[in-house]
Amino acid sequence: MTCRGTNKYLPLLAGNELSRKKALKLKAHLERCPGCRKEAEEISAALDAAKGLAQKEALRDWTDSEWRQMLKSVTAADMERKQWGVRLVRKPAFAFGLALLLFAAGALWLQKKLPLRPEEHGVLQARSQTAVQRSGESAGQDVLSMTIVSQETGLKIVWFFNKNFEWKENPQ
Amino acid sequence: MDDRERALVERVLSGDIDAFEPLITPYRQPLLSLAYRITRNWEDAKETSQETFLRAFKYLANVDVQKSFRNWIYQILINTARNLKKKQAVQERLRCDALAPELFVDSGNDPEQHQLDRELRSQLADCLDRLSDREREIFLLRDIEEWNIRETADVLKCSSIAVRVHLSAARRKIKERIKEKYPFLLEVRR
Ligand SMILES: [Zn+2]
Repeated sequence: MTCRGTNKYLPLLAGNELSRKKALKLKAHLERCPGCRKEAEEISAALDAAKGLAQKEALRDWTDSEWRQMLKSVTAADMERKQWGVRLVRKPAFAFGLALLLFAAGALWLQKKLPLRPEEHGVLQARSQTAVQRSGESAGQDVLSMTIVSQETGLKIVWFFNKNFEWKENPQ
Repeated sequence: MDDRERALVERVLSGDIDAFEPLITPYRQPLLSLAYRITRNWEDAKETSQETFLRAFKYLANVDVQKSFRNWIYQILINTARNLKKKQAVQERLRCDALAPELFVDSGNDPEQHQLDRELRSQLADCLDRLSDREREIFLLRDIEEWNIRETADVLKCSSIAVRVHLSAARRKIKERIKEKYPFLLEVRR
């Protein structure tokens, strides 16, 4: 193993996280390479030192009154929410009425938002016509006409599409 | 989760909220400590822990009783700590109160002990400061909390390979910092 290849794995060797095979290979390299050995020892020592610092570090706990208060606030917030649900379930008639009201309001809103009568604004017609006779075109050819009429100005536009989707506007 | 935890979860879900306390009591101090090591001050640590318990209570119905309760609640803590950090960054009130004296554990009237606490605290915090957020989470879970790689990956929702990569980087950075600033810590161990 090269020094470079060894070095890469030294932090994991320090934490015992390598396979047995890999660890043995690394250790064999460390036996004969003082540079890598020094690095490995330093990483292990630093890891131990950090763990030691953490162990000696005086950590706080909740005081009992803080803990009580915390628990109370945690469960209280949820209880309020649950009680609302329970109240609704206990009064099915009220819940049903509320749902109906919400539904009606939603329906009204939708109707206002999305006009269901497009003829107020314009007319879109599409119909299939057959056999519009033209010079040079064979009988029985399918032609689609599309008419748009503006209710406000009375402007009328007609498009004719042949089967190749070539179109003409107001050809008459 | 074990039978005890499963029974407590079921009791809470069926409406017995008193069962919540024995469910979370084993995590009372460990979660606060981890939150402290992530956020680096006690006020944020308490806020993070409280929010963690709140979410755990609120979303208890989502917990998979076949899986580890500990992993689940630690996962909430890590996410809560991340969210708090984001919130603080947005509010531009990133505090640097790692050295605020009132946040140290009261060592009574023993000034020597007080000084020792302060040094220990600042050495570890200083090393952790060198790490990226992800490296710090991984280092704390694996090396300080002594979770295995798979558990750490599970809680952090990343691959074992990612854990190994970040862990390697974290250990190397900590070694560099100790060697540079606190070489005596290496010497006493040799
Ligand atoms: Zn070498």
